[in-house]
Amino acid sequence: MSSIAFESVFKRYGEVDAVRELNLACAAGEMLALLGPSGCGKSTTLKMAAGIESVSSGEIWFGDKPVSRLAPGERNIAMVFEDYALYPNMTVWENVGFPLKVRGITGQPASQRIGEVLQLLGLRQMADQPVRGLSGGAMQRVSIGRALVRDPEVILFDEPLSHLDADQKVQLRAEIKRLQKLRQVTSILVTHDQTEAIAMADRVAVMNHGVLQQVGAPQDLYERPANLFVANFIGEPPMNLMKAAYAGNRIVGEGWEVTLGTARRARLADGAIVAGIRPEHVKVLPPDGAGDAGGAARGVITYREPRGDADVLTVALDAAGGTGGRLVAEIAGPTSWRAGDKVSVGLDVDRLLVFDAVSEKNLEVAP
Amino acid sequence: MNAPMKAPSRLSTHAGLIARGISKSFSSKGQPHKVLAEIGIEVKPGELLALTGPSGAGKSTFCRILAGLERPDAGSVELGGRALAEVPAGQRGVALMFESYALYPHLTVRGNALSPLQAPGGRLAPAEANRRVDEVLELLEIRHLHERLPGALSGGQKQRVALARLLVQSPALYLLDEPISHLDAKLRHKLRGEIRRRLSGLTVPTIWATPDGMEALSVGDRVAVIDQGRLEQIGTPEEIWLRPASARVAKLLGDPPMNLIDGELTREDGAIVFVRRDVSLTLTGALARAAERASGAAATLGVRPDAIGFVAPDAVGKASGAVPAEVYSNEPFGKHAIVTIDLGNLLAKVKTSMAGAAALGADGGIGRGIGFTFPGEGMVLFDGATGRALSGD
Repeated sequence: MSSIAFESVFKRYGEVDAVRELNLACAAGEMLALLGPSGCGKSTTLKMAAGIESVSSGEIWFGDKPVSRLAPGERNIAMVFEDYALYPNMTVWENVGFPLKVRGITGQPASQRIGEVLQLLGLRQMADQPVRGLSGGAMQRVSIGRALVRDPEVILFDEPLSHLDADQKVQLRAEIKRLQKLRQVTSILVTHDQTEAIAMADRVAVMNHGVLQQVGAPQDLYERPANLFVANFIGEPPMNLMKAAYAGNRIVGEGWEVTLGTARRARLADGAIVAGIRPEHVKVLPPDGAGDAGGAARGVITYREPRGDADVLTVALDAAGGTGGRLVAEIAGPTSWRAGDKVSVGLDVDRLLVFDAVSEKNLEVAP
Repeated sequence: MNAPMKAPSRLSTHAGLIARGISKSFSSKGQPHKVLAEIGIEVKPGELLALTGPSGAGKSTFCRILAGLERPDAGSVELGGRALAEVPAGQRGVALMFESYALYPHLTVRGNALSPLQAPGGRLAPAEANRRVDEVLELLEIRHLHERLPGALSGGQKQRVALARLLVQSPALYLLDEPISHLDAKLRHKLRGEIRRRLSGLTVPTIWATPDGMEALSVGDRVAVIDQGRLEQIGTPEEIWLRPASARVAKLLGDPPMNLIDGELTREDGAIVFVRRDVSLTLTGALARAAERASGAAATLGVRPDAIGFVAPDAVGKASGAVPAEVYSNEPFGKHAIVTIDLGNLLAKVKTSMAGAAALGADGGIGRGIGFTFPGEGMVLFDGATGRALSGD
């Protein structure tokens, strides 16, 4: 197993920086996710690690070995692709065994390795079937088997779940995570799906426009996003982000207001801010119940989405001279709230995040 | 006299949609294959019925029959008080949107959205038509794209154009077949709200078909679940969630859905026990009464993911009632975590707190032993032969 480090890596296409000054490390045995919208540079980064794309400047390290000048075949990496890239006429066994065959590993040592990997992936029963005609989930398992069979130093997963239907996605997501943890194989996962990234990875690197926005454990990104981009990208339903003004110890928005505790005042200066709060940290109460919940506002439910064990409520806040902002609350359900109900809304002030309105940075997270 | 001699229906009638006894078979490899079996559904004016079921359940065939694109083998459809059997598709007043966008490639976004308003019979004054199109493009956040051709749009944008083309119409029935399934989660949430808001002011029935049971719960005033051409259950989202009528309904709902454990009912010392390999549970109260109504020994126990608990492996035993198991995977989602537990050839999903999942140890405790405990509530018993929920009332 090897660690991977990107040191001041740039990728330029003419005038455009696809990846700009990337400094990022993935420890040995770790799974690191590269997360971002299409065009953010995550796939380019993966391809540079694989050696499929060259590095414009900077260096990539596998352990203490610089690899940016090495051909893909000299890097001892394995890739798992979104479209599986299997040989459709070969059997499951032959596909998984292919990397061994091209390296001249045959006979008993090969059979033993292939058998072991098929066992691990629950593919034993279908070893002799051609991969054509298998479900997407089974094909992706075969492709993971092909990656694992030769004990690579690093596995690079490129959107491995994006072609699967919902059930298979949920199943394989749990399974890839399990394999990665049991085998402790250093892995980089590229995905545009925040759910996949935070569920599967030890740490997540969020990218946008070729620039690394934040890297951290999933829970850090969820609770302490470094800027508005990360705050909005992670979490479902997304975080409420509301324009407001901070003055003294109070935050005043369109139709709501909260007071911060003394500990936080020292970190903040008066000015225009964006306040962020996750839907599960918004309480919805009867209209007269504001006082005891640190109630911030009153409003009307405009939309209720029952989600089984939770209700997602959209509340239009009352404001002087009309309607204020909208807030989305996620509360344990099913509830008896309905669209049109008047409510008061409580905000969990300790969970409320404060972003600078101009720089969009979280003012309470060290850069 | 030449007046129609048809007697008025004796059954209830209203200005919405009434489908009765709809059956349809297709021939497959020379064999008749039943796609729909006596589906009866009513949708009142202004009501949104979400129609859900796994792919291949018959949802699309049902929609095509309502639209007049297929003929049912049996059954009748009434819309706005009028029987539709002899009414051709173009004259039914059904605004239809299928999952495939079917946009006119040579028309701009605006041209596509305007097209239903320029058709014979639906023609509107240009100023009024443009006003309506602008309003809908605005709602769907694609107004800035109005001069683009479909070829220059992303999949999600095309889907919104198709949706705009639907929403500009004033039909007798809105029929949406997987209208937002190509969009990402954030946009889906937003559009569900916007579409609902737009439709809620109207007095037209809407059917929204989707394979995603959670989407059905989210958008429907009522939800109809069909599976293998049969109507499994119809009710409010709360009724469907709290009292799924069958295991087939239960497995469509929830994130993750209810765990369904196939096993057998046996009697031990007068008590009814649910057994599956090493796992056994003595049934009490409503579950025991439900078990008395089973048609045979086979039964499926449904256990809600947020009801399951777990204990340290050394606490496994008679006293705790915990069953030995292994942590298969552990996925944190920020507000909660999903832990997958291996009960021996059976994976159960548990929804728990972030702290609870973190307490399983380094690397999520994956591969380590654990004790699995059945909850005191949050369980449903299904008949093994029919799959129907057994009532314990």
